[in-house]
Amino acid sequence: MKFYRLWVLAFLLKFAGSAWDASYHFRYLFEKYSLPHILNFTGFALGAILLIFEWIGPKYMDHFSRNVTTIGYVIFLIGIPLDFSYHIKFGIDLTTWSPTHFIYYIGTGIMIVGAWRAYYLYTHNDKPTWKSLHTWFAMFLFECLVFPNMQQENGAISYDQYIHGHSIASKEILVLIKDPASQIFGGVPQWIYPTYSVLVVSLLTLVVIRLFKDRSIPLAAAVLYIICRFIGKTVFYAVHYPTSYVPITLIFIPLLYLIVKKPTWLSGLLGSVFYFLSLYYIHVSGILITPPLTIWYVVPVAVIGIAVAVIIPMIKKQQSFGQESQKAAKL
Amino acid sequence: MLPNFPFILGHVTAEPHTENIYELWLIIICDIYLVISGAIFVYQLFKVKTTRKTAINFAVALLVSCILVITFGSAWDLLG
Repeated sequence: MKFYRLWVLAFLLKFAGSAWDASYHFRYLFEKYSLPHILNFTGFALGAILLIFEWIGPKYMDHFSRNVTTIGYVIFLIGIPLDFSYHIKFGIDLTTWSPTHFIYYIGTGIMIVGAWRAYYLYTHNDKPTWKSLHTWFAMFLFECLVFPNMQQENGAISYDQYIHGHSIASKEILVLIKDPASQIFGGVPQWIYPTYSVLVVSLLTLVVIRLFKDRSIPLAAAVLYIICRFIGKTVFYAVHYPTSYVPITLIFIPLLYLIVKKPTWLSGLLGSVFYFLSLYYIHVSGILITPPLTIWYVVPVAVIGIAVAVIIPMIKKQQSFGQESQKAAKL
Repeated sequence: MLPNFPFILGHVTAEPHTENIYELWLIIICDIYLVISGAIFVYQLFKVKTTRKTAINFAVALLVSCILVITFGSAWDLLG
């Protein structure tokens, strides 16, 4: 079990490094040795060491899961020179929504899936519950999927500070800002934020429920994610770093799947609509500074919430997961 | 400058940058090699086949790309 706790530590270091990096670039442009990158790399290196040990002598991971995690590492490594060439061609991009940055997210996501699958097979005798490391792995995948939204969540507060003349961004950042309403939010349309959130969180929730037959794991993962984000926000606030809006209302999506079990489309509809309307209420009431929103976004949000809830149960479940579990039981 | 800026690609800065055509093509060619060797390696990993030769091929492509990153940038650029 220590092996998987070390994987959790590796992904936690990556999570902390990436959250720090997202905040860092709302204050500083780029420095030669960026500490958030070093922290992120520490997690990457710890995972790589664990993976190398498994390649030398397989002990805790089945071959396919080990290979899936390796695929994640390969994709991440391909992303580094590609991101560098992208910077050479277009300059430094201070956004999470850059195509080459997505290679990192995809690579990290696959790493998490591989390690999580291995953990599931390793603990095949125990029923997955929210009290196990499944919650941590689900939280890391949750974080990886919603990470691009950090641009809007950090941007919301930075934009508010900027238009009120209280920006804490460095001079080198401020001189680059010509169109703050677009640049600070990464140049992506406003409707992307809520619709993307509903898409990825609903997908993760439904897939976890289908695979583990447990509705509490996605909710526990969402709660853990929000707690981690609040801890991060407190630390950033204490050291005068840019802070971000914490997407607390995302909890409604897995919560509604827990409360309303059938029909699935109703859980999807209620979860997505509750998520958006509560977020919209926070936005218009001014309780917290949220990314910009308009009420009509509720329509695509509801459509995506229902669509995911209808499509995912229609996909035929692969038998290979069960067969792997049986193989693992024989080992 | 700014209206023509490729916001659709997700850029937020119009930061001046060096764009040397020789550098760029050299890196692009190595990137293509890296992506192809990486794709073959990933395919073999997914199929749980013997991967030694493709792993070495990918490692060579990665090494060449990393040397270019260090040459045209710095070792710190390897941290992502």
